[in-house]
Amino acid sequence: MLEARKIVVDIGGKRLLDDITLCVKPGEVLAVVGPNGAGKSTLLKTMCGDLIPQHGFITMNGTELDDWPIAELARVRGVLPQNSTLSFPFTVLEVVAMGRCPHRRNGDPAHDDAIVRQAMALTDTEGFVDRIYTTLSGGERQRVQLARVLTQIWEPVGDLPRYLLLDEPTSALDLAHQHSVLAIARRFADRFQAGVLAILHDLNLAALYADRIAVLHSGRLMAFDSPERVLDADLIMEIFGYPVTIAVHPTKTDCPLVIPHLLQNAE
Amino acid sequence: MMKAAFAMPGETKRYAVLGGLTLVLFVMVIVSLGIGAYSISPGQVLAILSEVFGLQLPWPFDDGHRAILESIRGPRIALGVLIGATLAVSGAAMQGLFRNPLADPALIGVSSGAALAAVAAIVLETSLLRNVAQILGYYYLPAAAFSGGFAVTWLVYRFAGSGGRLDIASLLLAGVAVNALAGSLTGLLTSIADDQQLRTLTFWSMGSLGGANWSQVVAGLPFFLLNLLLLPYFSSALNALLLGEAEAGHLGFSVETVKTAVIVLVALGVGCCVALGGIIGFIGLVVPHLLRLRLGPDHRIILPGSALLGASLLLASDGLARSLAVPAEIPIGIVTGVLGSPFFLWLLYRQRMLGG
Repeated sequence: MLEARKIVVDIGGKRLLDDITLCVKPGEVLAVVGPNGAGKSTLLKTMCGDLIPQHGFITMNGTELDDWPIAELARVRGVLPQNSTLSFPFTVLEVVAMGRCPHRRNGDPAHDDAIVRQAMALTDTEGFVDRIYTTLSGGERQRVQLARVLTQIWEPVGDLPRYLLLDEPTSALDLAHQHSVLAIARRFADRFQAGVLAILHDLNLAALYADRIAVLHSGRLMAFDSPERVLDADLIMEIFGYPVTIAVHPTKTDCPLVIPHLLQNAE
Repeated sequence: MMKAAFAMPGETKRYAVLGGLTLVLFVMVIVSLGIGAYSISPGQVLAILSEVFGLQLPWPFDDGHRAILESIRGPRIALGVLIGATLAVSGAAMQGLFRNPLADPALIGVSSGAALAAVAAIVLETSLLRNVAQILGYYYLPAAAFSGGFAVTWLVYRFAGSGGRLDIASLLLAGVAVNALAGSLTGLLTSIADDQQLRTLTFWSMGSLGGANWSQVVAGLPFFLLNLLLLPYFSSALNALLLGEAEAGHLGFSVETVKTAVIVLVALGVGCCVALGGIIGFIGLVVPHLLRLRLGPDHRIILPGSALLGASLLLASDGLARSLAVPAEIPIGIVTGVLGSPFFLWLLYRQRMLGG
């Protein structure tokens, strides 16, 4: 289990996260939603160890994050960044293959290669194996980065649960790829018992793919429960300041469907 | 078939290129040993070299030839190879660390710090530092330049490293400030130097392999080797760093350790280059870039490739420096500057065109 306990993060005198306690269980997809500036990315950065909380702590499988050897961590946990600073002309294949770095010491190259190939097939990136990463579109880059992160946790290491942390994995993607990326996350959770934490903006995507949704607002955790309990018109009005109606998804009837209203007299 | 094409990206190409570059360097070494005021043919050079191993080759030579190779050109070429390789590898590593293809060890003040200390050492040799100079002997100037380069690097590094993390932008800005300060102090020292010292300074600040001898090579060897042998060890980490520092950490690399190690190794190597060869620009910038154009940015091939091509390019520049104005010599820093500056401008232009 990946767990945040009573974490507080202050940056530049501003409280970005205030007393947050939540967890990602193996086999579960947790969606984090909230308005811009709510602290979603800060939460993800704290949960992966990039930011050290002023109070509280993060544990993974019961061990505090600080006590994990960094190389060990890389073998069971993948983190997808919101955007990458890569500006050197690596080929797509080279970028994806970097995900196997943590396993290289005791791996065999042909095996690593097979994994890279499967991850590219899964993320629909095998079509541009030899293209230069920097020439790809934003959405293509996002999928390539996802493939890289997936190769990291493709196989189990011992019987340790694996984790996947995704910072807005769908932000640059078209409709079909948004769904295929979240289906991949779902598949890693269902088949491999991986714990997935994904920051999402689209409440309907969260409702369709997540087991639980955490709602952040101004650094506070406002709700943390199953989609049907969290997605409530009053709560959404309170958090996002926007009127919606909650309906039932026409083909997946246990899933709520968020329908935004059209504002009259919008300026 | 598909699998084979997919397997080991460029592995064969990598060995082919490194093999080719090794061959080029070998040819450059043989040719460089031969050219100069007193010309020795490549065949004679080979014959003299193979005599060491007890081999007889059919090219006749006399003791004069052997003496020139042993005491004048041998150390000069050895130093050229070591300095060229170290400058190029250090440049490649810095560019990876800074995620900027225009970064150069000179940028963060290594070179100017080393230069300042070396100039101080020359000017103060007969007064303030007489005892130190006597004790250190051949190591006097190298030691001074190295400590200067190291001190400045450490200072800049401490400045940018507050809070346990190394901020690359602050490092660059601190480097700019320190470069300016070191430049002014060097100017000040130059203005109080006497004529004899001034000649040494000029000679030295424009770069030269002219005064090379075996003692210098031996004095510098440990620092060169540390730089050349240990930096490639960080190739994969430097590749991952290009994705971003957080990403490299998530791939299991101890980012802070890597940054510290690379900067210390570069300071060691470049300090040593400045000490023994003076200021030789553009090798660290041009060589990695040329290789990246052909081979992509993978440091596992760029670092060893830079060592080989850097050595060859410096030997070629030194060859020009020695033969363009016979019997006089042009300082090698001027040769690399004249060839390198237009290339640098072209790089900037190209980056603007591509980068938008």
